[in-house]
Amino acid sequence: MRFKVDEITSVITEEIRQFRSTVDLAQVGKVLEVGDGIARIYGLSNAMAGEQVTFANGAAGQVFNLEENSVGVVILGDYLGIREGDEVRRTGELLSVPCGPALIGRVVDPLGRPLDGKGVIETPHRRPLEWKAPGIAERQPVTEPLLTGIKAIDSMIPIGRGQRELIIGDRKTGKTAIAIDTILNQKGGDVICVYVAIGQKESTVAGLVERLRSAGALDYTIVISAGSSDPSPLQYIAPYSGAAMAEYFLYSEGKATLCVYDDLSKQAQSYRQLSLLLRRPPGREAYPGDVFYLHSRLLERSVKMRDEYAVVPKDTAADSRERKGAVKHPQSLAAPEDVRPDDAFGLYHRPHGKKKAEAFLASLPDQDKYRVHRFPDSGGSMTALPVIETLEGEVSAYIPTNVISITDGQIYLEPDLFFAGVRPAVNVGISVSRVGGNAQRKAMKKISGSLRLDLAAFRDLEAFAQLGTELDPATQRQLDRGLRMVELLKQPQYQPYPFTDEVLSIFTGTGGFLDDLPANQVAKFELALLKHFRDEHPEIVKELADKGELPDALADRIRQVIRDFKPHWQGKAQ
Amino acid sequence: MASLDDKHLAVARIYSLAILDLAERQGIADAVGEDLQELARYVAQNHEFADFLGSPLIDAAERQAAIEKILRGRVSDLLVDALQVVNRKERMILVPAIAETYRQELRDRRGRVDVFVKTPVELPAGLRDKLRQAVVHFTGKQPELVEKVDPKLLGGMVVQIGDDKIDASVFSQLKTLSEALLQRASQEIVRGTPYAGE
Repeated sequence: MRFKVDEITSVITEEIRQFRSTVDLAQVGKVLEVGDGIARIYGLSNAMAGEQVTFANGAAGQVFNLEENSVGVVILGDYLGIREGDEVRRTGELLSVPCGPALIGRVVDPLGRPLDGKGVIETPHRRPLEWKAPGIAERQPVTEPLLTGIKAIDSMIPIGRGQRELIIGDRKTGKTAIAIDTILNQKGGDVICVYVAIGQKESTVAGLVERLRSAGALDYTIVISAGSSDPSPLQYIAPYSGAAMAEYFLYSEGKATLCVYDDLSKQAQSYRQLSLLLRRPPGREAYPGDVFYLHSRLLERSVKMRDEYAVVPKDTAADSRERKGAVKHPQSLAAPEDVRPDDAFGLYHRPHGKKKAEAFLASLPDQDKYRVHRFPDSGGSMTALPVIETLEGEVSAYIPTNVISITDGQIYLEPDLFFAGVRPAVNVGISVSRVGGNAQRKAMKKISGSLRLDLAAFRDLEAFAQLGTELDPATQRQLDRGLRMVELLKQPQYQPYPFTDEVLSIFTGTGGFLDDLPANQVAKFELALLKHFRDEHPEIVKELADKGELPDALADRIRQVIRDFKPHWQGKAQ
Repeated sequence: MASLDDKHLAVARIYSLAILDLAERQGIADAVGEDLQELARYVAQNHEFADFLGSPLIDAAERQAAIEKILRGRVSDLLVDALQVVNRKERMILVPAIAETYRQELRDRRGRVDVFVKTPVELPAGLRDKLRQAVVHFTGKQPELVEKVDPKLLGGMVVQIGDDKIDASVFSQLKTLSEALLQRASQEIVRGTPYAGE
């Protein structure tokens, strides 16, 4: 390759010609002491709490402690290059991260700087790291499902869009696997995923990114990594940064998003480290007093925003976000109940708002000049899957109890189940989803109604049966059914099931069609049956997928197909 | 010896305010300030003296006699008495901090402000007056210029008043320019578009 000297010279000349000399005005302070990711700064007397500052070596910092004569700053970068007496500049802005569509498919650090070697991320959008969670009025109940593709979870511990569901368990029990499967299952859907890796090995994260890439999941996923060798301030801000990047899609585009924080115990530990270094008083387990707020303010940002409708002139663009164009009811908030707007701007909120807007439209004399408009930036959601690692199954430690009490339910993974081959190793007895039930699709709700209690009862019976006592036939039947359901709910990693497969599979189990099969044949039969449905009865699968319901007529047809298929399969198997 | 950290400065401020109030009443605030600065400088240079002041191993009575012998007659009585009070409270370690807070407080009361000026060559006299006027205009306070020559700046000057720093040096402008060039180059590499030219 040859360089053309003229060309380079002309580029530089051009740049110099366009360069406008400006006087650089800044507020500065001096580093008094520095170490372990923390610096104390003299000066910066006008600095705000949470403000971003810049060190002489280019590292960013965040103002944490405002003291009488100095400022405590956490360093978000290389603190080994900072020396006593170095200059520190205010930026006048709170810490913020780049966001927007340009980040999708990228692997970045918590400040939004690329880690994947794919070059600069060019985006005009930035969002502050800390953002106050929306209040009651702006929210809407969780009613749409967020399918994980894992049979055991979608049937018994369903997750809704906007929910916060904790994944908790000892090390090596498959916590990350559940989160990753959920991300993989969003393929082809409308959900933007953000995976935040906190304090993990770089090799683990690299493997994970590769897995997402090969499955095509990076097309809708942002990966944020603060590895275990990164300074603790970076690990501390990582989940907030992930939430900020998801919030762009949530608030600006009204999209559904999914945030995985893997894991928050490590984040709490890095927060403990920097709090102790800043000499904040330690509390229980040496965590600082505000460690609850650390997680509650993060998880409160998960939200299902309300839908907003309005009656607008017919020529309004379909993607219009201009609320001022709404036609207001003349009586405004005093209008009759069935056409009363939900705010003074004439907007109608939430699903029932659509009906009211339609009623208002119908009441207008020149209604063919107007239409009901749904604002495209309303109705977004952020679902959070925080991960907590317990020690020796100790869920009553400080951080686990905190996060359990903040979230809307937890998926509890047990090492005993994991090593017994029950994977995902979900303990259904103590796993719950407090709001997800409303978000389940009807078909799933119908077939999985009593599944959780039945399985829990089976676990009790199983323990009893091990005593070797003679069992009555009813109990024996319950045991057989439970054993086969456990087999049926096992699922390999990275193989999320589509909704229809989940329904058909669980329907087969709860319908008792597996009771006469040997337990070790259940998985094989299930696979063959699902293939049979896909190949021979696509109309059933389609009906199920489209409607999401399971009327009796359809259930009968499914039963018939299974009955016909079973002897055929048994004959083949022998 | 005591560093000028937060806790020391906070305590020292209380002592220095008391001393300053008394000195102003006697009309010797500036003289006391200079004496305190002198003392602080001596402490900073002489580690043994610093240890003598700060060490809890030395009896307060012994120190009292020593202070009397060294300082009485050489500095104002007010300052000697004040130091004796500080000694009785076992706070002699605060002397540098007291000197610093005294200086700051006196400066603020006199409506003066420290202005640090860095230039590549000695500041010409005409420019110095202009700078003073500019600072008075900018802050409404009388500047106390602290000048420093730094040939690295190449041209222009850097002025710092309190936390505000005004950098109009050629050095920093060249740095900005080089950053702009680098930024542009890296963006072009990423986009894969060569320079289009005119």
